[in-house]
Amino acid sequence: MNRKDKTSLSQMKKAEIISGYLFLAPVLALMGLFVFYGLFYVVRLSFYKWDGFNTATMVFRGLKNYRVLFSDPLSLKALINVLVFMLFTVTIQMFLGLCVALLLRPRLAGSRFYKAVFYIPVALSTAVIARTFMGLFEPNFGVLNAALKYLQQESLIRAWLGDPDTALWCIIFTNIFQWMGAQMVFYIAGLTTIGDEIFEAAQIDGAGFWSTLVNIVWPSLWSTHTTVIVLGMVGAIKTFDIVWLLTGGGPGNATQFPATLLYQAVAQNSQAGYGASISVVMIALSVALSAVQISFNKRKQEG
Amino acid sequence: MFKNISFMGKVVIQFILGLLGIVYIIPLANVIISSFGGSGIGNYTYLFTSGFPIARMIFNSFFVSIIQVSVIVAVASPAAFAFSKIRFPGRDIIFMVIMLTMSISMLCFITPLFQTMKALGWMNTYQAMILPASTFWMPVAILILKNYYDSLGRELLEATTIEGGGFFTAWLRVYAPISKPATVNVIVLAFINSWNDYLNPLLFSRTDDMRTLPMAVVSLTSSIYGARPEVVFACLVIMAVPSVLVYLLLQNQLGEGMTAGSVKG
Repeated sequence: MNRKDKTSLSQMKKAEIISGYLFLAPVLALMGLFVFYGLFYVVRLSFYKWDGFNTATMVFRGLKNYRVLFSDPLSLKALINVLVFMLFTVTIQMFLGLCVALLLRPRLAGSRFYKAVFYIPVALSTAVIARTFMGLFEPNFGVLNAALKYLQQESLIRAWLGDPDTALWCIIFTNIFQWMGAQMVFYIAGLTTIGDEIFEAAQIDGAGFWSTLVNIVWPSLWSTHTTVIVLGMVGAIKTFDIVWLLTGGGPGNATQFPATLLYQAVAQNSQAGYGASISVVMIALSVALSAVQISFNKRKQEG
Repeated sequence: MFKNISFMGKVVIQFILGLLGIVYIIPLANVIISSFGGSGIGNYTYLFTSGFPIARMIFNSFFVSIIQVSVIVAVASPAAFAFSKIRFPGRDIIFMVIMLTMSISMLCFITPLFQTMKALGWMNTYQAMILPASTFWMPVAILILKNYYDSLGRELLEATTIEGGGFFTAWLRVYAPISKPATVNVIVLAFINSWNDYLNPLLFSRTDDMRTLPMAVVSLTSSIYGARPEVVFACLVIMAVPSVLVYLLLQNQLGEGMTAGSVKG
């Protein structure tokens, strides 16, 4: 190789490196401005007390925001709520999603119709879903109380969203209704990766429905389970609009979530510094879960 | 397991699906039927003629969603191409960092976003409704497109270089056109996500003439129209039609990406 070829080769490399960065320039500019600058900003702000308006009124207060966050009964309540929400939505959505995917797999008459019906709520805005269910849970004219009256179970009639004992469960129910279709689609995709010959082999071995389900279907959907669980947990941490629209965190803070506390702190109570400490905790949890998801995907590709 | 199902088995399956189907259809049917309650189609015409800026909000929803989707495709496609096909130092680390931010809620950056918008004078403008939300959806789009570019070999790139084309030509003329399936995925999912987004207008719009439809539902409920729930339900139906239609028309083209994009929010 003579000298001229060498220089042109390194020039080609240089051109490749430069075009690589040029291709990334727009996304890095946008993410820099809105995500990475924001990250730097909230971490710094979480050590300050600030009303969010005049920067001159910013006061450094060290770890006090975090100390308040970890000792305040309200944030403890929000933490318990989000954990209960996470546990029930993730497990029930998994169970229903898998059941429906299994029931749709034989492709009996009407399967396509049911698949569309169960998926439509995923394609709808939470604003639509929330307003729809407010109509069902409404104390005076709501469908739920009307049905109870018809069944002569008057003792169960209540203001479902206005009762601290039932409000969180209404939110959980509505969320499951909205997102079950997404889990169904994941499991339908997961089931198609198990070939028919595996089921035939199981049948020849004399395996019944339940033993096929427990020994073959469940373990081979391992990667679908992890995806569904991690995405469900990520979604739970972010949960804001369904709560904000159905109860606004009420009645009397009974359904506060970390995201509703954050929004109230910043947008209503002028506690930008305290809100930033909630942000930092939520961001740390989201990033940790994404890291788990990425490492699972890597293992899936390598295995 | 799924073949040779007995008649009884089929009856049981249809019964369970039918029961769950009823649970799903009742709330949705309730909205549609209620929207025609009282004065029938008159509820819809009332919504458009009573002075509420519903037409403007429908325009805002379409405008914001279409521009958001365009920004997402225009920015994510070259980035995904670079992550898949171009070799440069730091590439894998940058990709990993972007993926780690995928599930962070935009709400976590409420204060810095407000400060940035105030500094730029963008509060209650289309720019504010378009740019941050597109950015927060970018990692999902990059992931879907990169996975597709990864499935295409490097040979096409080498062929383009031999013919004297650069990386830009290879992306725009060769790789982007063949990646139509993945791009359609991104367009559909990003459109539905943007159309339905409630947080975005809550944070960045301040007046009814800048609001999108998810906020219209809330404004209607809490205003004098709240006393006429059938009018609110008419608004819900109007808002549901485009996203459901887009999904139903394109669901068969949505293969794998439908699951990849189900990342909530």
